[in-house]
Order: sequence, then C-alpha cells, then structure tokens
Amino acid sequence: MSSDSSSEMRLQQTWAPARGFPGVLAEVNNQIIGKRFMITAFVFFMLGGVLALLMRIQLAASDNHFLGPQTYNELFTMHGSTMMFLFAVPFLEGLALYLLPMMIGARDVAFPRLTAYGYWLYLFGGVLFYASFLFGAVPDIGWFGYTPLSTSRFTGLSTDFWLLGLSLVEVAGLTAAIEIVVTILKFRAPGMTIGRLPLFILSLLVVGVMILIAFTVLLTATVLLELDRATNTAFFDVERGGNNLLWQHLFWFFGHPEVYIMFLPATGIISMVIPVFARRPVVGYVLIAAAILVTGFVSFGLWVHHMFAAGLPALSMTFFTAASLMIAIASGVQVFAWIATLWGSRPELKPPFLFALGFMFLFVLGGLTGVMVAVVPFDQQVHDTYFIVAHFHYVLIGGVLFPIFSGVYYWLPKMTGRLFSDSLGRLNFWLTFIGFNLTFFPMHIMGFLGMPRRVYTYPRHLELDGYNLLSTFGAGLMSIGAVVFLYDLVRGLTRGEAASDNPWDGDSLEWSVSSPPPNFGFIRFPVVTGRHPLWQADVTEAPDDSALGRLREALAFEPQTWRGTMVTDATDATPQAIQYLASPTFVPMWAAVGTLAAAVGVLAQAYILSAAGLAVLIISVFIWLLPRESVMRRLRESELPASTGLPVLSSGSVATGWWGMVGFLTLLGSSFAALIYSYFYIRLFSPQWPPSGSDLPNLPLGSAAYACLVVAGVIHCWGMSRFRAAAESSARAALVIGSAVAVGFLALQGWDWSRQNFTHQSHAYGSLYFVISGTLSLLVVLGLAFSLTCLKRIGRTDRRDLANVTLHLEMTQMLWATISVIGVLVFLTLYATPYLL
Amino acid sequence: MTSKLLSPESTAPEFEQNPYGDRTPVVGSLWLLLFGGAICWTIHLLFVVAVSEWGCFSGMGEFRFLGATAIAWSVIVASLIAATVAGWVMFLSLRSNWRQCGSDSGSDGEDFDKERGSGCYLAQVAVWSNGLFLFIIVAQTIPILFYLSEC
Repeated sequence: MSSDSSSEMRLQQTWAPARGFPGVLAEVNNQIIGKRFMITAFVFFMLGGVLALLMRIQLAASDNHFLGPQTYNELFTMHGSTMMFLFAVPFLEGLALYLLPMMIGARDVAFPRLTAYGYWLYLFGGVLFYASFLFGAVPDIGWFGYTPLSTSRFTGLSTDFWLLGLSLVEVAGLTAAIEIVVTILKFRAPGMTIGRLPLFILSLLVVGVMILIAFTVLLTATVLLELDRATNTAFFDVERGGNNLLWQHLFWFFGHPEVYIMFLPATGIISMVIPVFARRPVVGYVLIAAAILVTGFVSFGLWVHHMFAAGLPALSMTFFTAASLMIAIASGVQVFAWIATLWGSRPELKPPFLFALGFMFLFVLGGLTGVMVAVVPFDQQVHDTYFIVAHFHYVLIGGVLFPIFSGVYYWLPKMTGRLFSDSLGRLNFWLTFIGFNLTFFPMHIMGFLGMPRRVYTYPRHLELDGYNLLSTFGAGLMSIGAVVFLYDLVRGLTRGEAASDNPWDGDSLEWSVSSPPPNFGFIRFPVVTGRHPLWQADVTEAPDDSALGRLREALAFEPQTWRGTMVTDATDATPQAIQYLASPTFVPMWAAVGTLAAAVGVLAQAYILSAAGLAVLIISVFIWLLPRESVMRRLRESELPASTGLPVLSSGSVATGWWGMVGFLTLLGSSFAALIYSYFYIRLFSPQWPPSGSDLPNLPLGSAAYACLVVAGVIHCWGMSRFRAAAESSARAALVIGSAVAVGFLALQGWDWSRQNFTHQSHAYGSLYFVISGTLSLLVVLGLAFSLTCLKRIGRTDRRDLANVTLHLEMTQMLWATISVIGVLVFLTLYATPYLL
Repeated sequence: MTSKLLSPESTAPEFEQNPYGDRTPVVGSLWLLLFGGAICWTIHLLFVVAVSEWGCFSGMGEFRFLGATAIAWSVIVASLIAATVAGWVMFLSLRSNWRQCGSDSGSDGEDFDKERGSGCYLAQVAVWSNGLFLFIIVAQTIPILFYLSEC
C-alpha cells in the first residue's frame, strides 16, 4: 500500500500542471486545455448573447432608432459569427478534449502539444475578431461573408478582421479534429472495441472526420477571398472572369455540415444522458450508429439548399431537395431510439434530463421546419424572412445549446467535484425553454407576414410590433436563465456539496475516476467488457490472471517519469504499444504567436511582420517535431517493453503519428479538392478558356515538370522499401535522388511561371493557375523538408530508435505519395483540360 | 478475442508480435463495406449535379431521345448504375451480417442490441447504412421524372 501511494505520488508529480504564470502558458494537459476551451467559449457565448439582446431591443418596436442600420449590420454579423465559430464548435471541442480520454480509458489525448496550439489559436483568433471593435472596423458582412459584398471594393479592414480572425479559429478546429479522431482510434482501453464506443464518442469520431473536410474547404475559401483582397487575385471578381457563386458553394459546402458538426456531438450527449436517467441501455445502438454515419455523410450533400434563391438550374436543386428530405430519416432514427429508451421508464426530472427533453421537443420542431424549407417553392416564399431565423434557431439553440446545457449539468460534478443546485438548474431550464419559445416561435409567423431578416427596423403599418415585443421579452427571459446558470455555477463551486465519483450512477468510464479527476485520469487502465462498462462489471476490480490482467497491473502507476498512455488497435482495442506524451512546453504557444503575427501582418499590410511570424512558426514546428535526445534516452531506458511486452516506440498504423499524418493528408486532399473544384466551376461559366490574350499552357514543359513530381514520389516510396529491407545506403540514395528530382520540378514549374504572359492578377484563370501550382510547390518544399530531416537521421541514430526513424520515413513516404497523386490531378486540371474542355 | 498469455519471463517482443491478441479477421474488408453505399451516393450526387449544371449551361438539354433530354438520360443511367452497385453492396453487407453475426441475428427485441464482436457490429451498421444510402439514391433519382424535357 505504501509502495502504491509513493507510486501514485510520482505519477501525480509527472502529470502535475506546470507552476506559475509561465506554467499557464506551457500547459498541454487535455483536462486543463479542455476547460480553457469551454470557459473561453462560454465567455464568447455571453458576448454573443449581449449582441443578440441589443438587436432584440432595437426590434422591440417599429421604426426604432436605438441602433442605426450600420451598427445593426455589425451586430448581426458579430452575433452569428460568434455563436457559430467562437461558441458552439469550440465549446463542444473543449468538452470532447476534456472528457474523451476519461471516457475511453486513456490518460490524455494523442497530441497534447497540438491541443495547446489549437487553444492558443482559438483564443488569439477570437480576440483578433473582437479587436475589430477597438479599431472601429467591426465586420458587417454577415456570418456568411457573401461576395461581392465582402470584396475589397465594398468593405475595408473590417472584413480582414473577420477573415483572419476566423481563419485562426478554423485552424484551431482542424487541430482539435485530428486530436479527437486519432485519440478515439488509438487510445481506447482494452476491450472497448469499435462496437462498444459510447455514442458521444462515436459521434465525435464522425464529426472529427467531418471537420477535417468541411473546415478545410472553408479555410481554403477564406484564403482565396483574402488573396482577392490583399493581392488582387480575381477568384470572385466577375469583371476578370471570377464567380461570386463560387464563394457561396464553398462556404455552404462547409456551412451545412457545420450544422451537423454541432448537432451530432449534441445528440451524442443526449444518447449518454437519456439511458442514465431511464436506467436502461439505449435502444437501437446499431441503428443510432448507422444514423450518425449516414447523417455525417449526407450532410455534405445538402449545401445547395442554402442557395435555392441564387438562380441555379431547377433540376440541380431538386437533387438537393431530395437529399435534404432524406437526412430527416437519419435524424429521426435517433429521436425514435431515445423515445423507445424512455418508454415506460420513470426518469427523475433533474436538470440534465430536463434539458435533454427540451432538446427533443425543440429539435423536432426545428427539423420539421427544416423539411419545409428543403422544398424549393416553399423556400423561395420564406427565403430571407424571419421564418428562416426561427427555423435555424430552433435547430441551433434547441439542437445544440440545450444538449450543451444538458451535458454541462451532467458532467459538472465530475469536472468540479461539486454538486449543483437542482432547483436552480430547473429554474434555468424553464426560463430558457419558455424564453426560447417566446423569442423564436413568433418569428415563424413574422416570416409568413413578410418580415425580412437582416433589416434594422420595420414600419408600423406591417403590424409586427406585438410579435417583436414578445420576442424581445422572451430573449430577456433567456438572459435571466443564463444569469441563474452563472449564479448556480459560482454558488456550486464555492459552497456546493462534494460530489461522489458517480453521482448519476452513470455507465461510462469517466464515472469510475474521482471527482474531480486527476490530470492523468486512470491509475490502472480499465478493461471494458460491454457498451455500458460500469453497469456490467467493476472496471476497478482486482486483476485476474489473464495477460490483460497482468498488463493492467504492470502499467498501474506506470510510466512514472514521463507522461504516457496505452495504444490499442483501432477496431478491436487490443493493446499494441505505450505512447510517450509531451510534458508542458512553450513551443505550442510560440507557434501560435507566430501564426497570429503572420495574420496580423496581413491585416496591417506589414508583410515583414508576417514573414517574421511565419519564421517563428516554422522554427517552433521544427523544434516540436524533431525528437529530443533527452526524451529518446528516457524511452530507450524504459523497462516497460520488458515488463509489458509492448514497445514504447512504434511505427506504421500502431503509431499515433502515422494516424496524425493520415489526418493531415486528408486535410491536404480536401484543400486541393476545393481548389480544383473552384477551377472547374469558374471554367464552366467562362466563355473562353484560357481568356483571350493568354496562351494555352505549355504541355511539354508541364508534362516534364509533373513527371518529375511523380518520379520523385516513386523514388521516395522505393527508398522506404529499401529501408524496410535494411538497405540504409540505398534508402539514403533514394532520398537524395528523390529530393533532387523534386527540386527539378520546382525549377521547371518556376520556368513555366516566368514565361507566362499573364499574372495572378490578370484574370481568374491566372489566379487559379498561379495559386494552385504555387500551393503545390509549397507542398513540395514541405516534402523536401521531411526528406532532408529523414536523411539526417538514417544511419545516425541509435538502433533502439529504429521504430521512430521508420515512422519518420513512413510519414515522408505518405506525404510524397500524396504529393504525387495531387500532382497528377493538378497537371490534368491546369495543363491537360484546357486542351480538352 | 484470442489472447496469448504473456509469460512473466517474456522479454521485449518483436514489433510484429502482439501478446494480447490479434485483430479480428476480415475487419479490413468490413470497413470498406461500411462505406460502400456512401461512396456510391457521393459519386452519384457529384455526377448528377455536374451533369445538370454543365448540361443546362452548355445546351446539352437540347439533344433529345425518346422525348427525354440527354441530361435526363445521363442522370437515369447514372442512377441505375449507382443503385445497382449500392444494392450489390447492400447484399454483400447482408451476407457479411449473416456470416459475422450468425443466422440468429434477428432484428427485433433484445437480440438486436446484443453484442457480438466487432465484425458483427460493422456488418450490422453496414446493412443499415447501405440500405439507407440505396434508398437515398433512389429518392434522389425521382425528381428527374419531372424534368425529362427541361432543365
């Protein structure tokens, strides 16, 4: 026992937060970063709520001049952008980062430094966004930023604040997505097979992949728009062959999945809360899993239903009507499963359950109006009216905010170790529920009566004063609910009773650790035997004599001198390795500061600052990615491989780094898909391609350049196979030759650029040609950096680090294979199709 | 789940060895099967949207055969192919479901929520998701019946 307590003390020291203010900046632990995400998101939620209240005061009476039209435009832009980008998704990401390791039986997330980098980017992005108030340049283009309104012809610095602030937040979202997906796939406790995932975790897995695709498309779109504004490219300039509808397509290709990116984790929360209060397993687990999967996919096929009034061909719109109607089936499956779970049960009406019930009622209403607006003729009647405002608030507040409140009340005792007041929680629910319906239900009627959205006032003769006053009164009630929640939070934190480890008698693993949990979560890894582990077996019970039991004991309190957790198979959760996890470090913060400086440089048109920021970012990432000798030495000297049979250095699909690379390549693929889509979309509506006065691309030169790229990829792959065959000199030669050939590509591409008789500013064709080939060239430079660092490591590192070098080479090979495939697609797009289409 | 016992005397293993069990066989192909319907639907949607956007813009709608435009025929043929492939994937899922879960894998009552391992779970999810995607492909084809001769 005394040995156990000294071991636990050492474990606690290893996982202790870094001290003092510098420690705050260096922290990487998932629980601390997760809480920071949630608290920051909640602050933004309150700010967004205040903006909404100001708008409601303005609209409370007809012909009101409490706010002017310009201020009103700014407020609805900031409100929408705040709630969509700075509150809902980051809050759910924070909740996920906090809970995920505990729910799957791990000690931290897969890439702790990436978590910290993501948080700093999110904070900096949000602050940059709100800094627009200080400069009197508040964005006023709506949360959707439609072109041409958002181009430099019509707006100034305010749109740059919007684009750059949100770009940082989008990158933060992408980092969280990679984190979430890899952690779920690789860090699950033994026994937690893919068929035993808690439904919240399953929804996060699907949403993580969705974010990787959707956010990348938005990031690409915002970069294109910022390029138009800062460097005068012509993607969205119709006079030079650009297309404004392209922005709408790219934005809504992100925007519609975004709704489900918020909604699916919210349903995951409900699927955790309802069975616990109904005291029975969720009905139709497999059906819910299939519904989550289908919803995730189909959500990408609905974006055009936001553009029904944009003048698209009627035939093409009907496909999206059908898809929009179909997604209701997948969503409905979940609702029916919850109803079936509750059927005949006697749940206690505690705050988490009340908010879950409220969600079901409101989301069904919002879903029904969603089915209505999916029908083109109806949509064209209510387009841009308050009916739409009512619909999406029922979906977003009913479908996301209510589950968030449900989850917060459910998990707060775990996070804080305190119990909160049931009566104050109920009061908050009723104020929010009644206030919400008073605010938004009348908007359906106002929409039918023709009240347009995004207009700062309305004339008295429309006779809308009564409805609007009711809406404003409801918004006031909701605000009181938020204040009650804050009071309950403060009261609970200071005077609340101590919470037990499992106050709700929950079924998932997080309830098996203490409240609040230690930073490392588990001392002994749980072994999962079913979908509801705490209802089926005591996961803290004494170990049996099986291999898993002995492994569990061997890993109790271990590793002690460095942060680590167990890696398991992605499908069956069979133990595979022990993963080293980073300790507190300033590197992520410096990387984020560099990213911020690069963005601010663009904003202020101080490009030296941007270059300096990029330099800081690149140096930080370099320090971040290269293994430190002190860490490698500790891993080499670890006795865990001998005592557990599991390696502490791994490669291939066992390693989290390999999966992280897959995530990064998904992101790259998504970005190039968006660029190539943009090329063909603009080309489709151009009468002449290339535009008059511009030569057709030089096919022989392009063929030579892109052949180099493919050859470079093949040589790199061959080098990897030689390395696996232990022919290190051949592998080194392959890296050298492959890199040289890739440099050949850069030279040929540069030559092709220099001989063009147009620039990136001449027309949309020029913009596409230079931006797509330029982005690919940057990717080739990244590939070269990987190759050169590999070259430095092969044959010069300790043989015991072989798995780590192998992983480095595998990642390089994967990157080059992807570059080659993208290269072929870019060649076909830029060089071949102008001759064919 | 198979598991070889780790003897206390065992030393650091080779990378390929795993003393705690092997991956469920055929899981790799089941993952592919899981996304079969989704891939069919994605390709189908991209194709029909591209054909309708490009076709309506380029004048493809003026070519007619048996009263229907070339666009309509393209959509119909693409839909038939997509539905056939999705149906085939659905059949494969059902077969996998039968093999992985056993012939008693009924779809009602408590038996439905019974856990039967990763292979069975993936096969069950594949059946439902592929079935839904097949239904969506068919539903997305219906509108073309109203636009046989126009854009």
